[in-house]
Amino acid sequence: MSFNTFIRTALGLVFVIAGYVKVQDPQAFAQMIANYQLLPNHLLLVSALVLGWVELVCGLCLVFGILTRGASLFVLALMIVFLAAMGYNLQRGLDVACGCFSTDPNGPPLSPLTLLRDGVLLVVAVIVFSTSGLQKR
Amino acid sequence: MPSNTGFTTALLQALLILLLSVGLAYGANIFAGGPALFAALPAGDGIRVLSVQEAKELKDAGAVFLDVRDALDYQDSHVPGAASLPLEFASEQGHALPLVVYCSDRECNKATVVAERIVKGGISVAIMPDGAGGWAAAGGLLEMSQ
Repeated sequence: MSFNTFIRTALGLVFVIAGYVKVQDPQAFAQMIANYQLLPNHLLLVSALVLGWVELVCGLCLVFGILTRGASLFVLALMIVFLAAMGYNLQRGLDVACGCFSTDPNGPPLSPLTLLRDGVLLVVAVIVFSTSGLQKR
Repeated sequence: MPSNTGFTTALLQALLILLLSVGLAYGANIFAGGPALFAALPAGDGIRVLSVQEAKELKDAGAVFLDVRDALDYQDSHVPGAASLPLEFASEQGHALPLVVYCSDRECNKATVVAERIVKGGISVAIMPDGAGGWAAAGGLLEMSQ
């Protein structure tokens, strides 16, 4: 297994786990999104439903090497959005759980370590995106 | 430098993934008998959401207010007659009086967290999302602890 395949699969597995948790209980995940206080109430449930499946489908695509260009671009964009949302809430001191790999509202709150972890995932997503097809002509 | 064709392919694939995900989300929600996709998220079973005015009317009717902010914030100012119940000390015990829980303002989620704990004890509870700031902004008095 090449290094590129390894990190693509690893990134995919991370998103499969994250997506699976959210797909299991979309209403609990919607409450997690609500705690971020960034979206209007009527968009919470649909966002939770779609986001969970997007993460799961992107993760599966990366694991199995299907539509890897699109999946890695999607993951990259998601990581930017997640980082922005978490950074904003950390900056304004909102005490909310991450909701990244759990839908437990009493889970560990956002912290600089959460940002660091997602920053690493963003870097990995950039590498996967840049090696998963754009060089192939 | 990535080619435009490569990036366009990535965008098209991402769009395909999005459409597939939306379809799966919609199907799974129907299969699970979930609420309408754009339904508003309830504050929680048994939790009423009050405007500041409604909270004032309830206060006049004898409602008990619980201030779930930190003790220092409570000492600084609070709704007259409100009891201090910081989040870390909230328990599921309570009594059958109307309860209105508030925090600082709409950016503070502690009132919902405490209200949901109270509801678990079978007690009817309401939250005032505008919090102490909204109360004051609407002309309500705030008092300081000694």
